[in-house]
Amino acid sequence: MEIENPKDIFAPHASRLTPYGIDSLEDIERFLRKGQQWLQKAHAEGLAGEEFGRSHSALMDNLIRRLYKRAMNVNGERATDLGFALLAMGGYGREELSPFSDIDLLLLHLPGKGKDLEDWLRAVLHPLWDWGLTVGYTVQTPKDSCRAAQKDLDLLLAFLDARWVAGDKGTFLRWEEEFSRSLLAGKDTELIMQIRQRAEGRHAHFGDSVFVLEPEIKEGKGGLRDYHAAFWAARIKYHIRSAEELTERGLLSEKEWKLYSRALAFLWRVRNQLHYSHGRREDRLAFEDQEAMAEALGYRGENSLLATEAFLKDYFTHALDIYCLSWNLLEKSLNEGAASQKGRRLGTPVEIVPGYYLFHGKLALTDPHLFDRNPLHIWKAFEVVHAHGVEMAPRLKEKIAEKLDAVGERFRLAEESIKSFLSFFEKPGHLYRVLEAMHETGFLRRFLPEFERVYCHIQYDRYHIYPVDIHSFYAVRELEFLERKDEESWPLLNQLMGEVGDPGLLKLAALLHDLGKAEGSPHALRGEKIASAIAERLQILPEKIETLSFLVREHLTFAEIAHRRDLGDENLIFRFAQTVKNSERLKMLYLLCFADLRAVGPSSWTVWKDTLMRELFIKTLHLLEREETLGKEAQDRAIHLQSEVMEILTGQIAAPKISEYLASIPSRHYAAHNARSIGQQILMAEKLRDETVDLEGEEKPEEGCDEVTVVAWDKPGLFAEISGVMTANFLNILSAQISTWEKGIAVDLFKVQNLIDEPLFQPRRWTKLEGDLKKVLGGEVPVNSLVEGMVLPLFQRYPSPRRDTKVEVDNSASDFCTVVEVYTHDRPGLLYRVTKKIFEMNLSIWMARISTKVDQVVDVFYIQDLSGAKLEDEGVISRIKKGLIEELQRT
Amino acid sequence: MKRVEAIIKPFKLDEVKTALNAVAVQGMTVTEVRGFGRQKGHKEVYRGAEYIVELVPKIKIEVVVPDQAVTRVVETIAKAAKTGKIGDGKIFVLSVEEAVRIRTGERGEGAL
Repeated sequence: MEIENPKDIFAPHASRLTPYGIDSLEDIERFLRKGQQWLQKAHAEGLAGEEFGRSHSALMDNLIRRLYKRAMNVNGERATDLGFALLAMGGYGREELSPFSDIDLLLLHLPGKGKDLEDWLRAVLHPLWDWGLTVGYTVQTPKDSCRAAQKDLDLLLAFLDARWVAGDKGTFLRWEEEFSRSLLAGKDTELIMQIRQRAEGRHAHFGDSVFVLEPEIKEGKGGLRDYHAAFWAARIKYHIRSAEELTERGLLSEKEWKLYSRALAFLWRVRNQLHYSHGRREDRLAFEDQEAMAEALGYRGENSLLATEAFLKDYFTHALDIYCLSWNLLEKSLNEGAASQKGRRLGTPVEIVPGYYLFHGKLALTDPHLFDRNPLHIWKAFEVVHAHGVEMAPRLKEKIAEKLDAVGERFRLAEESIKSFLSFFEKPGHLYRVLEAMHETGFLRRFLPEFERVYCHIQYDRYHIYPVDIHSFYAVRELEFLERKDEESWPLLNQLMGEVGDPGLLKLAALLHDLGKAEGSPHALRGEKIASAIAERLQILPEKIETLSFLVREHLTFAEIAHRRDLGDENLIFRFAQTVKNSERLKMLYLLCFADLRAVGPSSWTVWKDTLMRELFIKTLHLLEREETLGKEAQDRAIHLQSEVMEILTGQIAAPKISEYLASIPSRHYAAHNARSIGQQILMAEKLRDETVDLEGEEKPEEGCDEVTVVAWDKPGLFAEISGVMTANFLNILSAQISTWEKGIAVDLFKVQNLIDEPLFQPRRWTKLEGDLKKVLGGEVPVNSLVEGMVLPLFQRYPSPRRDTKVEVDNSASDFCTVVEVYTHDRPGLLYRVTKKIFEMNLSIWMARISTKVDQVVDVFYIQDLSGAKLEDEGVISRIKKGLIEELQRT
Repeated sequence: MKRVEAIIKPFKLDEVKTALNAVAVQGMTVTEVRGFGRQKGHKEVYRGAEYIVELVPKIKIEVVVPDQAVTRVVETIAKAAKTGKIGDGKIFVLSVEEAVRIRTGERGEGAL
């Protein structure tokens, strides 16, 4: 038997292709294998999900028909005598077979003929089992089977999908009639209620969310079973036989059906792939499989993680469609029945506000054309949801979804829109319910287009269970729980939520905090821009926008510090307090962080984490509130210095310019300099616009040295170049304070020892120093050519007793820099060589303290890598240590 | 074989992990735990309400290593986890009778 054409396998009457004689079991098995191979190949080549299910069912039909024909020949009996019929049930009946789905059969026979079936069953069923198919079956008379289904809803539902495959058609028709008459007639509402209840139980069992870490393709929320439930309901209620009839009967619009069938095809295809990948029936999209699944289904991205995220986004988008559409269908089947038949008993419409009434506890429109007259009326629907916490009826959701084209720029900026939207945050009510309804109708993505990018956007890791948008809604809900003091009780957080002056702003921050997620990292910074743009559009006051930006920008900081930093380190807390600035913002940040973590997943918030976060909160709060803290003093001193500098510079530079400079100076700098020097440094920085570098000098006879201030644009290796020029100009650096202002200006203060007799401030020498610096920093002359061209004998006058050379790296002294301490004996050019080495190892010096006592040098460098990060890698650190020691021992 | 169990300050986890990797420790189990030793809990006060922390958050690291590696591993952990302040934690060493790598069925030190 040769099978070349798939039609030979899958055509409805492929069983008739060997009209003469009987097929041997070997032939039939070959037929099965061939069919299976073809299916797998077609799937790999992209066969659509629904197509696969139909073809696979056709293969089974033909297989069973061949076996049946063969049995007929072997047994020599006529099946009609026994009333023997083979029926496909469940998924097989619906023609939705995945590669390893169960094949469920109902074998019917006439009363009293059960015993004579033995041979038939052996001939039909045993080969199927032998070939490794999972076949489930029941053998019953039509009456018995209906009686059994009466007690068992699952069986009844499986019967709903039953269709004839082989044997006596008369028995099948009699059975079908009996089934409709005794089990379905007059029971639609009751049955549909049961189906809905069953679905709710199923959802609850699988996490009650479409968006779970490991979705269950069949039974989960948004899974295939939701579609089955809706289809069963429509079948019972409207007696439809195929899904296509859903549109013909007006139960779904063309557009909805398109969405629905596309979503179903997608889920089926995913399921088929999952079966093939596992080589068995598997309906759970396990975390471990998701990457491979994305790859197998043809998702490609810059990297496999992005491909996986794209796959999951599609998955959740389709699953959400399936859930919403199925649920609408189910409710429709239920409510229309109730309204026409038993409306009185199940409840009468109650108008709660003009234009809206409650029906079966769901919000519905009294006037279906309300939104056509003015789309802004949509807000009223959300307002009712907000005030009463009710769900919208499917028809109302449809009405809103139909009107989305009207939600454009004008709608978004309308005064009424902004007022309504903000009122949901400001007034007490059911904000989460509103957001959920806005999400399900697609309204939110139209009103805040920024949500388009994060719609169903999954961050692919084990930690983030929900897509970004859903996670954000949950965060808002957590804050509402705290506000209402229900759910679990967190006494401190409940109290803080009550104390916060602007809880509405906090809730808005919770909604917007992760919008940067689809833009790449660092998402908090990207999110800040997006959030503040939204806030501006919503005409929120500037000072509130600042707080909102702060919350979005810093929403990760709080947990990060609490869980990963030494809370016993005062400096750390001090710096954190400086970022937070006041206790109001601290409270909001703590609350946001709590809500954010809680919304990640059921196990992401633990007492362990809570304890550390509370410690950080209370310590920081105390620091912010304590009057006599270092922070307060330092801030006062800085403020005082700033006004002095302002006075000194007034008339020389425009006031706004001065303020700009003052803001860019790090607070550490204020602690180390006086107003006069800061003023001078600013004047020097001003000159930098036309120059690469500016320098000033001053004699310090009382200290036995000279002081040189260098201001230049910061760049890697700057410090090495300056110290090289100093060395080449016979200056030994005794101490240096280098700091970097925010605008990228390096301000370095050197105390230098003159190594020759000619005073530094002789015009000839000073001009040479200035010229050398400009040439080197301007890139005209490489610094090493200057240093190497030095006259060596000069140095021999310099005493150089040996001292132990030691390099120590302290990575705990600062959170931002790695602190490298160099202990060695002094010699000319030392600092140049050390700093040059640091530059050559691709590091940059953020701050340095150079000091020399007699001939013992202690140089402390705060260094970072070129990305501005602290060095964390032990390997890198030990290489640096080794490199520096080698350099120091070279002479 | 010995099991080395270390209770350390949470923020020291990264340092200890890196240090253990550097001495070729292949795997470890990390648990968020709460407890107290000499560093008794403390009290936090907010607006007069006291929040008593009886059980201090700590990290527990467990590694199983061949006998000859124990000293080095213990020293590495002790060095990396040390701040010199109270509450730095403790290290316990326990004997392990058997180890099995489930995937291959290997036993003893080969399974580590």
